[in-house]
Amino acid sequence: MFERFTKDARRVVLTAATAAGDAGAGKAGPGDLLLAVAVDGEGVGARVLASYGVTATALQTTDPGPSGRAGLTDEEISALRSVGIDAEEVFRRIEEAFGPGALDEPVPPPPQPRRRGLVGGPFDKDARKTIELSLREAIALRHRNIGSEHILLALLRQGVPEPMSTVLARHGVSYADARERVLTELHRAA
Amino acid sequence: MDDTQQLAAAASAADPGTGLRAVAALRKLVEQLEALQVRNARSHGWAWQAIADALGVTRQAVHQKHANRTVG
Repeated sequence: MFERFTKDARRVVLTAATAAGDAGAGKAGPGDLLLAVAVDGEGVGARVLASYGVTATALQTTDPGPSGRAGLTDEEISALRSVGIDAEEVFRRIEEAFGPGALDEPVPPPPQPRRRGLVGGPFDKDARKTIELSLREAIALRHRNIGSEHILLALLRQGVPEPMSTVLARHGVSYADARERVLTELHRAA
Repeated sequence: MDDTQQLAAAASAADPGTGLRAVAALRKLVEQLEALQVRNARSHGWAWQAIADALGVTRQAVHQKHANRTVG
């Protein structure tokens, strides 16, 4: 199963398994995998997360960042203002109509048919599913090998546990957008 | 508003960096707004077809994108 994993993807998998073992948590889950992607600074997955301002520290914090802003950063809000869009006003009206936090819901990825997990070892059922999905992400992108970016996309497709899921949402990380950034990042690296 | 924000606000939309960032940010905002409005419409009992018509997309497209996210 792991023979098609790149060096950084192997590192991610190993880091996650080791971290879960050290924490006495037993088997590693998707949260451990996401953290492992984030700490692997050299990896494409980590670079994509960093482009949203998501770091391992941010993922481990219990404070998920500014709320009610659809995951937009100050810089993005300024950029919108420069083309005449007052995002703050949008947030204000949405909050008025739907209450605080209405724009903080994660934007989940398109569904994929369910299948059985293929690998065992130090990972729980969900993490095994992540690993299987990362293979499918690579296939869908016609990539020969599985890198940390495919693990990241698999995690976004599958969903990660709270509070990580909220941290990602508030930084504006969605499956579709991250997929674009993965391609940009790979294109830049090539 | 700090200096950086003022600078960015003053930056012309003719600057490619700002313009492109605005487009990317708008896309993000649209995704969030769409998810929110679809959830709201569903909770008001709107059928997928009615939501699709309002969004100007096919029923399949809107269902595939949002069906697993909405309650009910």
